[in-house]
Amino acid sequence: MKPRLAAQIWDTSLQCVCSIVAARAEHGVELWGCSNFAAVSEDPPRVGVNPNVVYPIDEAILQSRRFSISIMPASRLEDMKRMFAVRRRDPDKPGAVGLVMGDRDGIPFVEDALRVVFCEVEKTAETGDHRLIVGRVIENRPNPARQGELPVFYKDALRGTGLAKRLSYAVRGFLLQTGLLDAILARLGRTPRTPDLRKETYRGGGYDPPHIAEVLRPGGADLSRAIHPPKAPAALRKPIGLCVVGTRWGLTHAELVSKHLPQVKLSICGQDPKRTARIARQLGASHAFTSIAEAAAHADVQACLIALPHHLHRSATEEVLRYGKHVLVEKPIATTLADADAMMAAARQAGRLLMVAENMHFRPDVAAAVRRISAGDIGEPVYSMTHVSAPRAPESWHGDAALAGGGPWMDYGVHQVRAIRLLMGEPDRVLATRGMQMHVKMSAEDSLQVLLASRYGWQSHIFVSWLSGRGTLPEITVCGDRGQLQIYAEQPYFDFFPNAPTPITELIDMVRPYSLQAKLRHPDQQRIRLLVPPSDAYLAEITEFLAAITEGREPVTPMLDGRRDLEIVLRGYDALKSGQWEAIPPSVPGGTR
Amino acid sequence: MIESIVGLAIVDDGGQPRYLRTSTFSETAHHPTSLWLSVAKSEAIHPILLRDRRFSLAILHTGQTGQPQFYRQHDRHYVHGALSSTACQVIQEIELDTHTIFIGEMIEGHVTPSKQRNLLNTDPQ
Repeated sequence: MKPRLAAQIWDTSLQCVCSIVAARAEHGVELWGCSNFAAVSEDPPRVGVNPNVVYPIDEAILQSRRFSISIMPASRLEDMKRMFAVRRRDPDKPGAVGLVMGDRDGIPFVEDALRVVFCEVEKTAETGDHRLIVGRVIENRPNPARQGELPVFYKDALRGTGLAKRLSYAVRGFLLQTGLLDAILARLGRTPRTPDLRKETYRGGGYDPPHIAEVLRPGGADLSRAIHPPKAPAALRKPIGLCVVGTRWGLTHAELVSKHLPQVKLSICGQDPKRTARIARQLGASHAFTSIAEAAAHADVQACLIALPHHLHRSATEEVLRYGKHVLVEKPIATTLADADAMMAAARQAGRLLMVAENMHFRPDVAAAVRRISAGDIGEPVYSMTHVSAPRAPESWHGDAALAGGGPWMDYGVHQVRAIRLLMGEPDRVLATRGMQMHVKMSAEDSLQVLLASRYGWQSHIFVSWLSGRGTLPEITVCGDRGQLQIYAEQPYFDFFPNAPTPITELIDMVRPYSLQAKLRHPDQQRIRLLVPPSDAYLAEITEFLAAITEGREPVTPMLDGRRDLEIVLRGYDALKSGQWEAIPPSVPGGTR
Repeated sequence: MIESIVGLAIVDDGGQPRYLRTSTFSETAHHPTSLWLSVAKSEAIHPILLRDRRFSLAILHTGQTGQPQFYRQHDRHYVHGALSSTACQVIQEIELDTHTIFIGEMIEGHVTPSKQRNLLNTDPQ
């Protein structure tokens, strides 16, 4: 018998026919890519499945006492690959994998499977790090449309979907199966490893009870994420009148609207009549106003975009709402929660939309990174690091804590808090600290380090500063147990560094002597650069706001999202004062709406 | 019937292999490294399993539909050319009315290279 290194590819032949086991959990439908199920008896019909006890499916089956096994046809190999790769703790695996689910009397199942076996739990047995669950079959439903088709085989599903993974498996398989690896090792004077299914394939993957307790401590499923990036950018299909209030930062928005949204009848509102008139003329705006009331009262204006100093957000918003017009207010929504609540109350009373302009919610790289995390590319996202800094010494309202609400933590922090909420989830405690103040003429902080943490087991570090620039550092790094994502501001790509070696890394690993290997090795060899479609997040947020008005719907990021960002930032300032971890109130159940 | 792989559960009967062609088995756990095998109480290997509390399991490929060729190693019976071969010590039994599920800790296990795929119970045999 010529053995093979099973540990390298986890292809034991015991795992073979692939299925998706589904059960209803408290948070929704829980799934498990399963290739170790079998009939226990044919009469009466019973099946056995053995989920790992750290998988959320185990708890879901135990609670609901019912489950299905959807045996996947060979033509759905890619679905099965995604299922095996999906993030273990993702609470929406059907969405992450892109599966259409059916329901039979409360038992979820995968539509268009080769066969679905519906079961009720008859017996369970603790068997170590897995649990053997014997199910009584209540229906064995073959799919006539798939008759004659073979199931997905595990060894096929195990192969990666990307070119790098496929190449890696091909190279590895070739070296192992031809014995070349053994020959190379022998030539190098190293003893070929003796392959042993038990020792090499299983032992490394097994948990003992203390490990299981540690893995389950932050919860089987990570339910901390309450907000999501939009699935697709909005399109504005009807004409609408928009007045941009503020001619400094507001000018950026006005230029975008003028250039890209011809359906919008644009007006400009500013304090300085000459500057306002000049901008309106340059951008082809219909009107130039010098007071918010005048703008909001005009029949050509259905909505206002408020880009004013932070302390003016409330009064400007309330004024626009008094005239029954919709408001897109720049971030932060306000400088205090009391102001934010008053603004939201005014919007509700007026029956008009209030949305906070948070471009982070619309950044394509962040959205793509969220999808990568859900797909399981980096495993469990456990840590993130954010670095936002620029050499800046604001002397106007920006540096005045009373007017701006704070320094870079208020200015940049709300953006980064939103990014963390999208990428990682809702934090439930915060710690903040800082070094010595260098910009002593500012009443606000010039830098801050903040740590956000979740009871679901992740932590995020955010550094914001007006002392010096970031250089080439990524803006946000998300670290998981299978790899890392690096996100850069204003770049049409982000980088993925998988833990699994790329083919080039594998080849370089074999190079001897080590001194030559060290010379050949470079971190870029592990980098997979992922392009994102070009999209201006500021334009996307404005379009979404205007589309929501014209379509009579809530925007994808409603006003409570902006309030939540502010709440977390303000708790950060509380933590800075106390020098201790401060609790962050839970987000509104069921999201932030 | 549900699509499953086919193997031979083998016990020692007075020095000779006695086997059951079956699809009623799967992995149980990674720690301890184990698999489960469900055997009807009417099967000939059932009393031997209860008595000796050990078995081998050979996973077959599509070219192994005929008479198995056994060999003996480390006091166990195996099948030539099997995709994988494991030797198990029974560590737990789960009683059902008609069957017993034997959970066997994997004492030894090997996989062998083959271009053949697993034999399925739905394949023509």
